Amino acid sequence: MPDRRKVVIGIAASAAFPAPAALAKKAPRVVVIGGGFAGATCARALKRRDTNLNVVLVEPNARFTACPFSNGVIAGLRDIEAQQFGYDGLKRAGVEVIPLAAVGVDPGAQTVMLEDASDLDYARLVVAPGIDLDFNGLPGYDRAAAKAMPHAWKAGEQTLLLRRQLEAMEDGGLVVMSAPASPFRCPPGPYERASLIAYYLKTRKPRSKLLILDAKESFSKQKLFQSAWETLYPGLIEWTPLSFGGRVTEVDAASGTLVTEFGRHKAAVANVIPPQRAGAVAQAAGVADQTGWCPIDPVTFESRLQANIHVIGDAAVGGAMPKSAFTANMQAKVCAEAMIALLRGEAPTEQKLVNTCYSLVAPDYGISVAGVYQPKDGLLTEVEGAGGVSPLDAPASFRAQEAGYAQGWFRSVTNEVFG
Amino acid sequence: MPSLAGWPADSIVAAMIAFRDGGRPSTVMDRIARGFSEEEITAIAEWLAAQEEPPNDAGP
Repeated sequence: MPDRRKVVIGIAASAAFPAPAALAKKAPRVVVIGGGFAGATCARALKRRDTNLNVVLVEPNARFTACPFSNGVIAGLRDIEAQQFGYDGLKRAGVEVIPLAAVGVDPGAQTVMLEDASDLDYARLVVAPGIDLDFNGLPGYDRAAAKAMPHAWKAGEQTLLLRRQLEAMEDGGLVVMSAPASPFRCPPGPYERASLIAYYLKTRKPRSKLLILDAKESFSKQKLFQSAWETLYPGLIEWTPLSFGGRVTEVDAASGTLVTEFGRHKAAVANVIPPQRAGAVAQAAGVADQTGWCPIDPVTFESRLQANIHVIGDAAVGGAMPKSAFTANMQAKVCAEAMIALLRGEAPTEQKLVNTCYSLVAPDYGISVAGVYQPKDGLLTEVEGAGGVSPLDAPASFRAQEAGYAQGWFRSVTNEVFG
Repeated sequence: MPSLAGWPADSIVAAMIAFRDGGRPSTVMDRIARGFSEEEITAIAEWLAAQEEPPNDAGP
């Protein structure tokens, strides 16, 4: 009887349902390269919007380590596990996850080459590789140097390395950070990091100092940061802008030295945030231009350089939106909507996009910058009259509320994407 | 923080307009609400009101 039942079910299955291969041919396939905030959001949004769509996420790492809140890990306020998310939620939502690296793209043949030499055809491709650190952009700073002077600008082992270095540093040591010229991932990030390192130093190693060497003349939420530093960490943080010799021109990892046009700074702990560009697969796909970033159409996020390839998140440039996880998440949803319209032969509709970046200056002291954006003259342009930063004069309760909202945002975005 | 999914559209519209016009105190919502017209706010509210809140999903 069991044998007979098995056979009957087998026949019924083959008669009633077409084989998976036949289904795969019918439903258009969208391939998403990169399982960060941009790529994972997009894969999930596509599946949510159209369950028949064949959505494949190509991501070699079994777990994603999120950058937002990773400065808290560096300062010992949080464990790295709180930053890590797997792909089971995406799989449950019907996304096929391929745990391999994409090594090439043929835009003409519409195929992605994987590291095991297999190919994936696509009707539309999403390139969401985030950033690569430019190890040719700062003399002396290569992969080996990053093991002595961590960048910690991709969360994971580098985050933990910087934390261990701070923990091992003697009280009275000089921490030196270098911040790059724009554009780079997370514009307020270096200054949130400086704040939380200062918090760690003040509470654990109060004779220590922090020097920020900056390749810029100004930075995101500058007045809010500087006013908070005066109140919370007086005399602890020194910020050196470009015109005062802030641009780091060379580093010597062996001696822990950062060189600027004006002098040399020997650090007990050095955090070098180097210049960046779109992740390598963007170059391989031919969607990055000579700046290293990927120009896009602001309505569909389709590449300006290759048809049927969309670029979202930190790798994309196309106007005023900053490179943040919030932006990546927002762009991914708009891109998913546009791709579905294009696959159906419909015209994509223009959308407004929102970004909010929270920074923690201390565990209970949050500040934010927000913006609303819309396509205008081919660029994502800020909607006038909207957006802006937290008020400069606000009570402690306001700062505490924003710190709480920062946590709330992180919980809801990671739950939406990975939960 | 409560999810907005399934809230009545009317109360979302009223809250957004109050954020926009400064009638309701906020940290960030005033800055965001100022970027949207009344029609857009209504469309957002109607979409949110139509969403069910799944047990393990904070909603888009």
